[in-house]
Amino acid sequence: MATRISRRTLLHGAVAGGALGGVALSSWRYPGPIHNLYDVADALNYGVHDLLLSGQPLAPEFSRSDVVLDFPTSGVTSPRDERYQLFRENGFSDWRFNLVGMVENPLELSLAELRAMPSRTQTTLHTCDEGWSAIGAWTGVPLSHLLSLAGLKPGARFVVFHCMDTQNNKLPYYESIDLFAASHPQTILAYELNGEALPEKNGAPLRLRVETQIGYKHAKFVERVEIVDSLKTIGEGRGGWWEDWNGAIWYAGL
Amino acid sequence: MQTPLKSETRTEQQPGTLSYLRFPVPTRILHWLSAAAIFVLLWSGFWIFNIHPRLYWGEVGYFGSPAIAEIVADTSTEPAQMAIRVGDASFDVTGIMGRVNRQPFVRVFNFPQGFQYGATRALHFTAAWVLVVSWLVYLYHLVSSGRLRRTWLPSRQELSPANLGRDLLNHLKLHRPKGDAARQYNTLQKLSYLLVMLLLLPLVFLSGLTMSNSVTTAWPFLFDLFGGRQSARTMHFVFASLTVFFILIHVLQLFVVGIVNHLRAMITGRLKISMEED
Repeated sequence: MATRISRRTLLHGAVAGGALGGVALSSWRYPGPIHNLYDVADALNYGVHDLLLSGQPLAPEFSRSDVVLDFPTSGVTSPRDERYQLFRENGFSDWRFNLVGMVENPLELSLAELRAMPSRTQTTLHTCDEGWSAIGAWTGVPLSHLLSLAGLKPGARFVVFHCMDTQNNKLPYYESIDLFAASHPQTILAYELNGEALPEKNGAPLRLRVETQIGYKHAKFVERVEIVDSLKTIGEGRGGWWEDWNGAIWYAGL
Repeated sequence: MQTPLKSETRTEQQPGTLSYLRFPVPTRILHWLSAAAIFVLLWSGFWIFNIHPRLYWGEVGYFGSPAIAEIVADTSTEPAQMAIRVGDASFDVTGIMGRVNRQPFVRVFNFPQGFQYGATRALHFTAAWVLVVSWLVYLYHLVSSGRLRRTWLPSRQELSPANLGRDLLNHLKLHRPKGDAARQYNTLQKLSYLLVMLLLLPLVFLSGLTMSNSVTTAWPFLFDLFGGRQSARTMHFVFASLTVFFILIHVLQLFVVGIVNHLRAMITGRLKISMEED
C-alpha cells in the first residue's frame, strides 16, 4: 500500500514538475522588461505562447470576399505633424524608410523600392485590444526579408518600430517585438490594404502587421526600424508607447 | 436514523451541536485565492468591456457593424442618457446608471492613478493566471484525495427524480439542513458546483483564450468551437455573467444556512452543526 501511494505521488510529481518546468523554462526566456507582478504574468503568457508557436504556425487566413472595405481604426488616424503632412502631400515620393541599429548594412529605401521587393498578401483578422475585430487583406514586404538584407549583428534581440505620429504626450509612437515574432512568415511591413495603397487612417505609407499579436503592436506610420539588444534605451524602457505610458504588457499575443 | 459519529466531537458548551472538519486546508486556501481572483477578473473585465460596450456574433465586429447588444450613451446631456439595447428591445437605464463619465458605463470604482486601459488588461491576465492555477490545483486535489468521488459525485439514488424533487422543495422553502443532512452536500448543490467547476469555468477560460491572436494561431479550432472571435467575446461575457449569477446564489445560500458559521468554517475548517431533529 505504502509503495503504491509513493509511486503514484512520484508520478504526479513528475507530471506536475515537467509541466511547471516546461513553462518556467520557456517563461525564463521572456525578453521583455520585468518591473512588477504584471510583467511576471506576462512572462508566463510569453512562455506558454512560445511553446504553442514554436513551429511558427500561420494565423488563420480568410476569404478575400470577407474583407471590411472601410477598415476601422484605433489611435491616431491623421498625424498632425508637419513633416508627415508634407510627405503625404507629395504622395510619399520623398519619404524614405530606414533600417538601422545592430545591422551589417543599414538600409534606406523609397516606397517604390519597397514595393519592388518580394511581397506577401494575407487576409487576416485584425483584433484591437479594445475588443473590436475586422478582416483585411494586407500586402507588404516580409520583415524577415529586410532583416536578412541588412544582416543582423551578433547580440541583436529586438526590432523597434519608430513612427511618425505624435501622441497626446508629445512623443511619437514606438513599439517593439522580438526576433522570433519578427521572423514569422506573416510579419510584414504593409503598404497596401484590400488591394489599394494603405489609407492614411490605417497608417500610410507603411505599417507593421504581426498577426500573432494584438492591435497595439501593429505600429502605423512606420518610418524607421531599429535593431537593438535591449529595450532599456527605448522610451522609458518598457518597449513601447502603450507599455511606457498606459501600463500595457510588452508581450501582446493576447 | 443517525449513523455513529467517528472523528467528530460533540462540543461540551452546546449540547446537541458538534463541530467537524468540513473544509480541508487546500479547499480553504484555493477558495479564497479563487474568490479574490474572480473579484479582480470581474472588476477588470467590466472595464475592458466598457472600452467597447458592444457585443457581436461571428469573426468581425466594430463601430459601424451591426451589434446584437450594446450600451448606447448620449453624453451630451448631464446626466447622460443611457440605454441598453439587446436585439430589438431597448431599455432606458439613465436613472439606474446615474451619473456617467465619458465612458458609457457608470463609474463604480475610481482608479487612484487615473484609468490606464493597458494596466487594466494586464491586471485581468494576472488574475486569470491565479484563477486557472487555483482551478487546476483544486481539481488535482479533488481527484487525488478521492474527494471528488466521495463528496461531490452524486449516486444514482441521489439522481432519482423523487430525491431531486425533494431537494428542490427544500431549497425553495429555504430549509436549513440539520444533523446528518448538514454533513454532506445535497444533490442540487453537488450538481451546481460540478457544473461550475467542470463546465462553466473551462468555458470561461476557452472563450477568453479565443480572443488571443497567438492562441488561435496555434489552435484555430477554437474559432469553430465558438463561431469566431466576436462570438467568443460575447460568450465570455455570457459565461462571466453566469458566474456572477452562481456567486449571487452562493452568497444568498450563506444567509440561509448561517453566514457566520460557514464563513468561519471556510477559515478554520470546522463547521458546527445541530444534531437535534426537528
